[in-house]
Amino acid sequence: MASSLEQLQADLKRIGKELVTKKIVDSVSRQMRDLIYKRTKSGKGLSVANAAPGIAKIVRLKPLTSAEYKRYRARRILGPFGSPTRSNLTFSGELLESLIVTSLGVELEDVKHSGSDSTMRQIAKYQEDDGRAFFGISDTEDKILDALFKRLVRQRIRTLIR
Amino acid sequence: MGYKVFKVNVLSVLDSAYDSTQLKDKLRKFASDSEFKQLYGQRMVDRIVKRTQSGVDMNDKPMGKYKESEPKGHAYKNSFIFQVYGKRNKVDLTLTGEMLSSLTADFTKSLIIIDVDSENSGKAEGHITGKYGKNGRTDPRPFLGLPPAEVISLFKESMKDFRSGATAENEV
Repeated sequence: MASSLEQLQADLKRIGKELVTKKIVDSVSRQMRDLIYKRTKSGKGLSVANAAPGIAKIVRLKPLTSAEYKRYRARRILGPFGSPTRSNLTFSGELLESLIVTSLGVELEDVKHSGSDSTMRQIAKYQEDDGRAFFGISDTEDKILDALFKRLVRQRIRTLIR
Repeated sequence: MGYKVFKVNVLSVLDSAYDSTQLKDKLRKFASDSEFKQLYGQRMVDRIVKRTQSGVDMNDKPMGKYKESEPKGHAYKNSFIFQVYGKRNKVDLTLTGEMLSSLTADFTKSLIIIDVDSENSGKAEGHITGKYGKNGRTDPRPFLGLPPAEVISLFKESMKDFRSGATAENEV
């Protein structure tokens, strides 16, 4: 009895491996990174007030920060997507560029920030504490990823049965 | 709702797909099977997504390119969002991908009905009727559907796979 159960588990594991290939996992992870990156850069973060996080505008820049950004822009230090009037967690673009796809999904690459001693993870933490949560997936984005994953698996099955 | 959802009558498709009356009679019970309808419906959804993302509408026509300028004001192509999302010139109705991800296939006794969810119906309507965007005036982009030849070829393909054991459930 036990051996047939073990056999079944082994078969299921094998089928799972054949179906969900590394290519599929990579595609979904890349899409996840893209969703976080582009949503944040467009000025939207996560509203974490509810159990299922929604998408919310990132809190406005403080007047002092905004003034500072204006000065940096005049000196051409501010990156092309940074703006004194738009809050999108983008100064040079380094924080969002440090979002990387790994075997575990999407992570913030733990590199030192060029402007200070802080690492990207710490900087991301400051953003969260400041009410500017961005590193995560909203309920809508979850649906997008789910649909993509299922579509890719269906495609894979169609290839396997031919 | 100001647009037509995509409806496919499986029995009519069966009639158009094959010439042999004997074969049609044999396949009728499979075509009416809810598991077949689920499988076929899901495949039509996947095909609509694929075609739309490659820039082709339900009539096999290219959805064109984004305009360089709009009659009133600023073109979407020059917008910040367009740049952030790294969109290309070709219209593919995909920014985050939310609208196309929300496509679902539902079915009745003989119909398969494909539509977006209620949260995305306004957006879909705007694209289909051409009343989307800041000025409420764009070219209509009828993406919700498939050309008849494709409906038939997908039917045949799904029927073949269904009879060899494929269902929507084991296809996720």
